Order: sequence, then structure tokens, then C-alpha cells
Amino acid sequence: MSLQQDQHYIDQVIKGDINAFSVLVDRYKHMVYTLAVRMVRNNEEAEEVAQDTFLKVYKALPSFKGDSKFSTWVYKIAYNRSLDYVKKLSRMPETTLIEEYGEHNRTNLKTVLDQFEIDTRKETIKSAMQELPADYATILTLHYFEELSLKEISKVMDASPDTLKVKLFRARKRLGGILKDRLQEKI
Amino acid sequence: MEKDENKELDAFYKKIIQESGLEEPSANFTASVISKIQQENQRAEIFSYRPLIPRYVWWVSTVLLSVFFGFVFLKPENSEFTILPAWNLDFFKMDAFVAALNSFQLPDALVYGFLSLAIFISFQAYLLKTHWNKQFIVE
Repeated sequence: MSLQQDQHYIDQVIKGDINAFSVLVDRYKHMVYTLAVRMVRNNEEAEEVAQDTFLKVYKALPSFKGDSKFSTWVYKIAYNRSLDYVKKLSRMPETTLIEEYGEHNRTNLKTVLDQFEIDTRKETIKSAMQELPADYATILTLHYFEELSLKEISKVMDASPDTLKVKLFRARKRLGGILKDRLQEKI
Repeated sequence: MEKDENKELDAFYKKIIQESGLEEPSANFTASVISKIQQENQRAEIFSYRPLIPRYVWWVSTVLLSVFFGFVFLKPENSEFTILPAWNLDFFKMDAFVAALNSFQLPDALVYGFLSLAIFISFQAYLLKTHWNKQFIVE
């Protein structure tokens, strides 16, 4: 979504039109909620964090200067709120000790994935994402679903593009490993 | 070759992640957010700061005091303006107070101590403000 498309509603909200804010919430709630789920790993808590994110966005909207895309700014707030929430609960990031999957096995993975019904595939991929470390799942979602560049993700996650490139590579391998294990169980 | 493979991998993971879609928040998500904002706004209105002494009272007081002191100190000696009673205003002459201030000396250590504390607090205030604002800034 381009900044121009959001700017009209942002201006309306700053003028005091709360209903204009509901348009922005509807536009970004899925991605914000998904990021929260990836980080917090609990649907009810993620809902709370996502709502809290939008409250923060509403309050901080007058300070949004338009230097970046509105979506990037919203995701940064969502990421920080989720991190704060996880830290508050002193919840250690969970990691799954699964062997990283060699990238050369992609063809096999694709062939095996294609054998399943689309709904099963979706469920398998979603649950595999839940098993990834929070940072990995966030990078994969922002890069492959939202199609943000590493430079844009670096603004959201406050890390250098080089670090993110390495993490993206590892995240892919880890996801491949988890998918392989899941699919073997199902065959 | 390696570049092509990387592109293929990118396309593969993009396909499966896009296919899996995003998580779905509850049906009344937007309504809940808007309702929370409305509650916050009402709360902010109730607890909004209203000064005990309105601004216009301060202005009127300032004007009245300026007129009063202006009249007391700037009135020519031979003025025949006799509406005011002949008050004894000698207590406004603060020679003794000024002399006492001149002879009053603060220890250097105390002065430097307060100065350092003031600099430290100002610096800390700036650092904290920058830290809190940082979460809303995207470079």
C-alpha cells in the first residue's frame, strides 16, 4: 500500500476522524496480527498485542513524518510492542533443534508438498512457521509475504541488512528442515 | 548458476509462504480497537489538565500589579495626586537585603556540585527523551 493511499486517511485521523482510522486498521490488521502471533506464539495474547499496537499507532500518528512507508512504520511499532510483551513475560525465545535442511533438497520438498491438498499444505506451513524462532518467522513473513526488501526490514527490526541476509538464509534452511520432518510424519 | 538457484529458492519459499496466507484476527478486531480509542479519548477528556487559575485572571492581575507598582515608583515627587493615602512604603527599599546578599557567599564546592547536577539532569532528560522517541522513528 503506497503512502499516498494512506496519507488521506492519516490526515483525516489527525483532524479527529476516528472512523478514518478504522480503514487503516482494516488495511494492516492481518499483517500486524500475524507478526504478533509469530513473536508471542499465543493467539489471545497476540490479539491483545496487535490491538495495543494500533492504539500506539493512533497516539503517535501526529509524529509520523512520512520519511518511510506507513506500513513499515506500523510494522516497526508492532515488532517493538511484541518484543516488549515477550520481555515483560520473561519468555525465552523458543527454538526448535531441528537439523537445517540442505537447500539442494528443495526439489524433493516441492514434490512432497505437491502431494498434499492445499488446506493441509497451508496448515503444515503455518505450524512450521510457529516452530521457527520468532526473528526467523518475522523475517520470512516480511520478506516473502509482504515482499519488503532487506533494507526495509532492517528499519522494522533495527538490524543491519547484512545480518538479516544471513538470518534469512538460516531461516529458510530451518523452515525446510521443519517442513521435511512434518511431511515425513504425514506420509 | 548460484544466483539462479538462489532466485529459484526465493520463488519457492515466496510461493509456499504466500500460499499459507496470514493469520486471521477476531471478527470484531477493528471495532475493539476503535472502542478502546474512544474510551481513551473520553478518559483523556475527563483527566485533561485545567489550570485552577484561568489565564485571563493572570493577565488581569499582571496589569493591575504593573499599574500599582508603576504608580508607586514612577510617580513624580511633587505630584498632587492625592487619591491614595500617604502610605509608608519604606519597606520596599531593600538596601539592607541587597547588602546582606552581597556579603552572602556560597561555598565553591556547593556551587560546582549544583552546576554538575544540573548538567547531569539536563543530559539525562535529553537521553531519555531520545530513547522514548526512538521507537516511533523509522530512518
